[in-house]
Amino acid sequence: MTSLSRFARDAQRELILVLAILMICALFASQSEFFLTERNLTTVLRRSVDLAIIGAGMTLVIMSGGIDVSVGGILAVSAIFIGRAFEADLPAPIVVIIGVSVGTLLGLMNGAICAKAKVPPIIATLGSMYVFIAVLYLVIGGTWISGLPDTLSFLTRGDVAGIPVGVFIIAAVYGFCWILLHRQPWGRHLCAIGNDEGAARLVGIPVDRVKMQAYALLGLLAGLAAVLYVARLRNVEVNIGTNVALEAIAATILGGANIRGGVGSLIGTLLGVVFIKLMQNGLVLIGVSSLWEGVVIGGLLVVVLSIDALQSRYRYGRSL
Amino acid sequence: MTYRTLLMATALGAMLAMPATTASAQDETRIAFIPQIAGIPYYVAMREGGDRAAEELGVTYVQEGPTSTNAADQLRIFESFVNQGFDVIAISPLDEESLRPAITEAIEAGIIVLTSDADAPNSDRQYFVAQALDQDLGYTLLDEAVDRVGDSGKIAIVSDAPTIQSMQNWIAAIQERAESTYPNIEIVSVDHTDGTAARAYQFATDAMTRNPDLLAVLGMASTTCPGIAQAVEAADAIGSVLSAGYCSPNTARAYIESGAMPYSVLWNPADLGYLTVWVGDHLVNGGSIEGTMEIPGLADPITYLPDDDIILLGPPTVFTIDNVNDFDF
Repeated sequence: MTSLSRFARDAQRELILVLAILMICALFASQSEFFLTERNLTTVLRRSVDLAIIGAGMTLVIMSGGIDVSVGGILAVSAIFIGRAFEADLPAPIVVIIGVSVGTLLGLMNGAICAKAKVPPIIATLGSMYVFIAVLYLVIGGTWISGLPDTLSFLTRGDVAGIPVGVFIIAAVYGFCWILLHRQPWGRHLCAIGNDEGAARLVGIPVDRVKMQAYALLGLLAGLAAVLYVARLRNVEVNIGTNVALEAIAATILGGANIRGGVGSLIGTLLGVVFIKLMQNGLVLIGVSSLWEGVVIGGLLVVVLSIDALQSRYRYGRSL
Repeated sequence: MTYRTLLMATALGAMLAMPATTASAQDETRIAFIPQIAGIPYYVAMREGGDRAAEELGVTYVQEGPTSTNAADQLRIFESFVNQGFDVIAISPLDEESLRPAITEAIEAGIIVLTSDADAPNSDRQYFVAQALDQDLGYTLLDEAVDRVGDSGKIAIVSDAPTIQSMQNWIAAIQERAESTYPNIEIVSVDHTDGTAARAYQFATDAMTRNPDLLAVLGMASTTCPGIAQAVEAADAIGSVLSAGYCSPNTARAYIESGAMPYSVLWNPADLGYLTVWVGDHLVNGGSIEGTMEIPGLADPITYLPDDDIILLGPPTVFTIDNVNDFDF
């Protein structure tokens, strides 16, 4: 009984999200006969993979007290390298390695600026986002990279034993991050930094290194997302990566991460991604103008953050 | 500290002095064009046409646009061209309302202001250099679709941001054509993307899910084309669902070849860029625009429509498997 109530307390946000997902599912299903079909749900799942894996990395970075608003740019620059590698007829595994390496390097660069130069993360990554977008324009100039081969399409369209490949990718990424966070000293270090960076430094945690590793991991996952994006759409357009950072941060915050660091939940983030993607899909299926989607998701974020703020005021007494 | 201040002052001084010297050194006519977004093949082709005209006519031509479809950035660029004292500023407006006062001020300052590629009909702009009439474009896209899938069934539309007036006009023309000529065609949805192929893909897929008997998905922006065509390919729907749109031949080529997007409707942006610069130069030299005119650098004659002060390039072009490889933009 006590363990059950403890679970209910610890997993409060996840439970609320599950309830919210069930509620919108019921709503959409009652309005559209096509919502709860295997085909539609599989489609939503397949298109959620990029955001889900970036969300995992974003959760770790936000838990460390940081943020990365440049992930869309990392995805874009990685995608250019992937596109160019494809055009140069390099074999698919090499293309994947190139995309992931570029992402990792750019993430590491962000981490170094935040950790070593002590630039506030939102400013540092805002700056790098501008640079990444400029690179995108300078490199691809006037011509999109389009008509790429479909050698990697199985990653986004394929099935293994009837289960979409994306499910295995999500499981691998979240499994890896979960082990890092809950079964390795690294995870405790990350939380400690997010809670109180000064104290973490005093007890001898290698603060700069852990931070840089978190950003590099997010970069790596953005590079992987770029591989999946190019595999699915087989082109690199100039607007690639728009809204990716916003959606990833929204999913992470909906999932229970504290924007000030120290607290976060991988499962919560995954549920946040599912919520956002189901919302985007469902609104179209029930015939609501797509312009309302921003209102719904933005409004929800404000509500969630307000509830969080009220709760912590209640919990920590009236001194605040 | 003083050293740094000195350095900054010098840099600032240099920045202020630079445009002044270039402006005074030039008597040549200077023409600027501001596209809706920098760096897409379409506007690059327009620039090539503009450059060709500038060379033949002996004028200076500059093209500079925002890096995202952001109306505030476009206004900033417009104002910077006004301050640099250009003779002619042509713009493809993203948002008419935000530009209107700036257009009026520029005209009061003696600058010739044209709209080109997209219009701001309620502003004080002198002429709209039009690629093709919005109505012709809307009708052609739908007529070509009906030719291929029949005149009875459901069609979905995927567009870019709803602030882009030309796309809103095309959508209206398609809807009007459907109502007046094809009573059994139903436009089931109009969705707006954030400019990424991923969102266009998502909207097209959802439209097919919602309407299992969907006949066609029409894309209003070049940015939507790869997404909607990919969605048709991914759903194994080539042959049962048609995708088509206002897409540049380079963007559509792979899908025209696969059959997912049998045709695309547009015009030749290089010719539009050429005409824009020609009109600018013609007006600076005190020329008038009337009736039907032969332009030395263009194959077809242009038409002046006095009611709305529109200078029309010609009828739209339909790109299919037969001619798509003749174009490179």
